[in-house]
Amino acid sequence: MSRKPRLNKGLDGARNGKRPRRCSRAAHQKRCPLAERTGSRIGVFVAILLGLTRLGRAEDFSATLELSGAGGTQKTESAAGLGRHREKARPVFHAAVSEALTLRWKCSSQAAKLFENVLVHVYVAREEKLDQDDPPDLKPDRVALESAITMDFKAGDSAHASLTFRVDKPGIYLVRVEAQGVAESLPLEPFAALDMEVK
Amino acid sequence: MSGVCQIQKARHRRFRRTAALVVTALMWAGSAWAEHFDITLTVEGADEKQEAYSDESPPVEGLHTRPVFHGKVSEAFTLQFFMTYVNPHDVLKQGAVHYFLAPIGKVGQKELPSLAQDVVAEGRLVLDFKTKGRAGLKQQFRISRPGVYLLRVESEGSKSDHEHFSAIELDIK
Repeated sequence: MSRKPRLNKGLDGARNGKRPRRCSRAAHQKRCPLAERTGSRIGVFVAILLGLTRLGRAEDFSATLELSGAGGTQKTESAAGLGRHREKARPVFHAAVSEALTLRWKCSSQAAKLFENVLVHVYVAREEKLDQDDPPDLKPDRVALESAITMDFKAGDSAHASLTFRVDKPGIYLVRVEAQGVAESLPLEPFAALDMEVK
Repeated sequence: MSGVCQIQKARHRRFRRTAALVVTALMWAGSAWAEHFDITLTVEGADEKQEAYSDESPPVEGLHTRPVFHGKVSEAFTLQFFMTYVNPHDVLKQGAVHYFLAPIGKVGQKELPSLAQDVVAEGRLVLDFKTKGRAGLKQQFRISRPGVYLLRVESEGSKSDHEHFSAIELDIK
């Protein structure tokens, strides 16, 4: 018994006056000159989309910092595009020697991704001038306060602290909270910082 | 013969029940008094350094005698602590680390001081602790009035019947 030859069910069927049926992908790619280009474009688009999703957004992890004393309160928060190459100067908080100060910080994640073993590092350290670009020296005699925690952050998780301290030497200080270990997934290391001028 | 076997069986059953009860009780006691935090607390001045380790509360003053650090008014001191969560069974959600340095009446005072006024330093860190999760702090300070001060770092919200702390007394002349 001879086997019937299999007909091309797609385009050939249409030519014969029958209702066109969906052709196979392979057959379409053979016949359609646009198929290859369209496929590659979609592939590139999907790859970019996946890459962006994987990269995450700066807003996915936020850091806020608030410094208060007798003279008032100064608050700052992380924002996209702030890395070491800042567009804006850091806000300046003015304080007196031995004034009672309170530093409050908060780090929180809104990302669907889990950030494991994030190191939240906070410090108040002497710097040479206001709005200094280089990170300050963290030698013990130049650091008034330093703190660190390790934690896993998933969506909705946060850590926060309230710390009182005094600075007994006049000068310029950098007050900074930074989250280390999330930069692999985000475009920049999230941080919030301000300068403190002590007279 | 079969009567003896019945007695033996009953004895075995009773023994097994008692053993299970004892094991359960021991496991419960173990989990209730499990160590949650390793703490190292240090105070350092120009001439002296004191270190204290983890203690338990209650009682509020702990089980160990507090070390005493001797210093002078207006001398520069540094306090430092590290707290490591060592409980392998649970994640501690939004656990807190509270520390303070405040005057007390005398060396060895059992009651904790009021933190309403004259507090030299105080802070609270709130975070999720997983096993081996850490919190640490280093701070410079000076004390302007002579007296005895209590430096204490303690866990809060451990969801257990006890908390961990570490404390040092500062005798400032």
